[in-house]
Amino acid sequence: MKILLLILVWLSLSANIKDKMFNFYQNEKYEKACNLGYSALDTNARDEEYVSLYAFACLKSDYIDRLGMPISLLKFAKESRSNAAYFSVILMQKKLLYHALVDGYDLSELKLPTTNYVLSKIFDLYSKLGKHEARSVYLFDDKNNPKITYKLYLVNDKKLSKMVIEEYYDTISIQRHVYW
Amino acid sequence: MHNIHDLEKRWLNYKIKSYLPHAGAAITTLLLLIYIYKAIEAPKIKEQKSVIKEEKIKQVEQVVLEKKEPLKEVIQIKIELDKDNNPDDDKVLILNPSLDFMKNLRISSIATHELETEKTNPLQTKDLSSIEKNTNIKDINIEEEKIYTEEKAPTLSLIKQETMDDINHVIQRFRKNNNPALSLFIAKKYYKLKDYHKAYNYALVTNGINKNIDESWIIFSKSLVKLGKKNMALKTLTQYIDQSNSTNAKILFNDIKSGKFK
Repeated sequence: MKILLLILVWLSLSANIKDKMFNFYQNEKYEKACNLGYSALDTNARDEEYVSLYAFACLKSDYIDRLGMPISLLKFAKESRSNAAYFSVILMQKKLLYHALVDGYDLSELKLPTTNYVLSKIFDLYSKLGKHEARSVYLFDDKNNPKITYKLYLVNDKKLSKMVIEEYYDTISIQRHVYW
Repeated sequence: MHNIHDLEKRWLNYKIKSYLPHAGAAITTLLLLIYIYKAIEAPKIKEQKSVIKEEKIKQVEQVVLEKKEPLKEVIQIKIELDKDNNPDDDKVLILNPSLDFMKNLRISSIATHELETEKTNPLQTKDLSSIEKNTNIKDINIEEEKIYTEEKAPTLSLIKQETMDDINHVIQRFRKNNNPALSLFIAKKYYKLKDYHKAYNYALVTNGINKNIDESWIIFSKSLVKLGKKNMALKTLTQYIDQSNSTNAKILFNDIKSGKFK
């Protein structure tokens, strides 16, 4: 009886976390959703809805490195596998782009799938440049909308360089993403 | 005395000589017959042989052709591969996220509105985030939530005034540069203030400037529902989904259709 009660309590608590996370996600509080999901990921590792929601929240809040766990956990449903592939492409492109910017690694020979995520767009635009001398700032025009432009540059911290992507619409800054 | 042995030899020679013409005639006839038979049958055999040869040639040709066809395919595949390898070619595999799992997510409790009191001056809390209740995509700004629930509080009316000033300021900026990001911002603000007519108008303007903004179509459709034009909202969303395959639009479409969003 006690065990049953404990199981019920555990189930209600885990469901509560998922609901909270979903609320945060719906309220566009992606960072909160990502952090909440991260705190209880171990106990909900088999719940693919939970893991997917956590992954999308982290993606929206630019916590790309946290996608590593969902990539390996999402494998049971078709939709999950599709999302895992989507996340893995973004994670790989982030790592490659960072490697290219910091160490001058040549991306022009690579032919990877792409996504609708901003990092993928920048990756595609950057890799099309081919071999070139490193620049302090890269400016790119969006393929589909000429009014949208992107600015890519490195910010050198004391220990670590950070990759910054700024999105502009008609010279108005819309969003800023920082990755390292 | 008669020489019997000599007589027998002579008799045998006589007999052989008597049969020789008959045997010769028979052999000649036989040879003739064989020749005639061969003469008659030879063209037929030749025809048959030629037919068989032709068939064999055809079969060989077919085999050759069949062997040639895969080669063509290989060449075509190679050409296609060469095309794929062309760096100028933009045909790249695009991966899209799947958000269908969110349909299954049910919120058991009513969405918490997160009325966390900010430690800073409340006038500075210009959070644009929206709150959606029970998977209904219903944007309610936190500030405005405070305004509508606690209108009596004097400080909150100041916030409303501040919000209206913000909108007016953005409208002026929008009139100057016709930026769809600004008109979308205004549409969202009016929607959150429950001024659905203005929200509809500004979303329409935004769609006119740039028809690829997902949020603008969402606000447009939600405003239509709020204005009591559910069918028009569904029709608009259907057209937009056909065009963009937007997941958010699909979710909203299902919510409107099922009556979750009213």
